[in-house]
Amino acid sequence: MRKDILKINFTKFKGKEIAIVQGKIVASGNSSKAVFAMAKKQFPQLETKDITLLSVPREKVAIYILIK
Amino acid sequence: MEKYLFPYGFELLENKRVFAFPAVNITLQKENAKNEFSFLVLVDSGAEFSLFTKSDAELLGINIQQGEKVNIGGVTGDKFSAFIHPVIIKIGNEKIKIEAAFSEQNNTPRILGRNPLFSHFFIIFDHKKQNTIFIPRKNKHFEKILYK
Repeated sequence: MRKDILKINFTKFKGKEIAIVQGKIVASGNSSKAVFAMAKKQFPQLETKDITLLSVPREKVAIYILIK
Repeated sequence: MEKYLFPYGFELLENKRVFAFPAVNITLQKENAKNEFSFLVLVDSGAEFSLFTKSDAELLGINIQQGEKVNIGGVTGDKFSAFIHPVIIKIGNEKIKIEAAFSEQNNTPRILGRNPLFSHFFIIFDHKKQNTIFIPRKNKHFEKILYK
């Protein structure tokens, strides 16, 4: 296990959208827009690109293809 | 040699088991828009194109319904519609205009697929050291090493 990597409790955040600021989870919810707004409210001084959004997978594997 | 090295982006912890994911930090921007938004996205060589969510489109100021509609299916049998829109993606210092799909849902994964990004970079998954390495294709030196 790497020490510098973001660690996410899968049971808690499965399928959730999370916002990360300086390596820490600062907000979570069901949509990136709402989660970004929550994070921006906490850190109004940050630029938009300084708040990272991550969609925590629902499953540990997902492959997507175009349906012709 | 110019390269961008991304340590695996995150680990999921469940029942004392750890799953590491090859996610990379990118920024996304609507064409001619001022703000860039940062996302941690899974690099997925099995995906034909890059996929983002409906809410991501709203965040970027994109009217999702104005794009070309496509149907998408996953290996688990789930199906949904998405809409194609041009966006500016930044990986390392490289800014590239791509066509990305935006799902009509919010509960779909956010992934970086092959088309067209895998044509702009050589991408190496170093699973042992848990790094994903992007080498710009314009780097002819690396291409020579690969194909000599």
